[in-house]
Amino acid sequence: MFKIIYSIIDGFVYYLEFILTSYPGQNIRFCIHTHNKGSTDSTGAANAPSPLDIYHLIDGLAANPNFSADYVFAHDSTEWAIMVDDTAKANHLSTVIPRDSAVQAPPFNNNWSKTFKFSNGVSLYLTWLGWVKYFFEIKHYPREDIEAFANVLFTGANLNAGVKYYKRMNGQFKELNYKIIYDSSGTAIEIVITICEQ
Amino acid sequence: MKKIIICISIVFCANNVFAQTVITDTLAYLRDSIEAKKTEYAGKKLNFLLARLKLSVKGYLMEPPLPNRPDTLKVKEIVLYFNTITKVTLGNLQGKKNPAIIIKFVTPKLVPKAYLKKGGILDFGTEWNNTKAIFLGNCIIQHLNVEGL
Repeated sequence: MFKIIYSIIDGFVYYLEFILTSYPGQNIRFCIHTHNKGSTDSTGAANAPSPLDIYHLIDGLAANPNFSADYVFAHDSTEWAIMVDDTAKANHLSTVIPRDSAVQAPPFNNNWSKTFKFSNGVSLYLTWLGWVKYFFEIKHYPREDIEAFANVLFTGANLNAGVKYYKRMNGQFKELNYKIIYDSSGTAIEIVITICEQ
Repeated sequence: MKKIIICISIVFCANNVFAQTVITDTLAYLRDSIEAKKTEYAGKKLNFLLARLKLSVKGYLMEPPLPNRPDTLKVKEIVLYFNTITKVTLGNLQGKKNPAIIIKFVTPKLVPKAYLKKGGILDFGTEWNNTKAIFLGNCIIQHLNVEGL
């Protein structure tokens, strides 16, 4: 099913939404779209789900309780998905940091806000960019995964968004998560991104 | 001759004392000496700021050389930290303050992504160093502000 859709929309359509009826009385509702090269701004689109995608999912769920997932087919042939796994957290985020506060200037500048700040005075953007640099400098993760990994960590650890990330690997969507390692005094000393093999 | 030696000694000692000025309160220093006087830096080179900073730059952020970015990045701004990127990011997670100077340039600095690759002269996977300071040193500051106070 996805392969057929992919061949139709790749490179042409940015957002498409499908409603599938699995059996009478139940609707499965999700969104599927591509991230084309340069589709969001002149610097080029990320491969993985973007800040705007996360809010599209969260706000979509608030409007329709059956809306559960957002799939992304990227210009580098990678495939991603995000799903809400904690509705209360997602709704809370949407209330305390609404989309237009969290994202710079949707839909044309699809980055985390440089003006909305956490309680320590640091903007969402710089907090996220810090994770990007951490993954470059400390963890040396593959460059094509770093933007996605930073979003996994940022939406989980900083925003507590209740959203799960998945990347398609070897034909299956695998859950991406993060692990914070603490020292004996309770201070965070390391972060690792984990891939669920189940 | 004695007077000359005494004078040289005094100048040397004074310089030494100045160089050894230890900033014990980073927040207060950045607030009172940088943020409060930020207009003094507009139109000056980054070198001008770096030479006057009484704190060592340890970490920095700028547009990352991600695969979806063009081959030559247009670096419009840079963020300087006075802690390692590990301490900054993990500190953010725990709500700690790690103030940074955000510097916007008058003209974006063109940086070939190849410079930023592993082993490149500006390897993005390494900390701030003299090579990076020299490469960006002539960039003219449009404005700066201190974030995270």
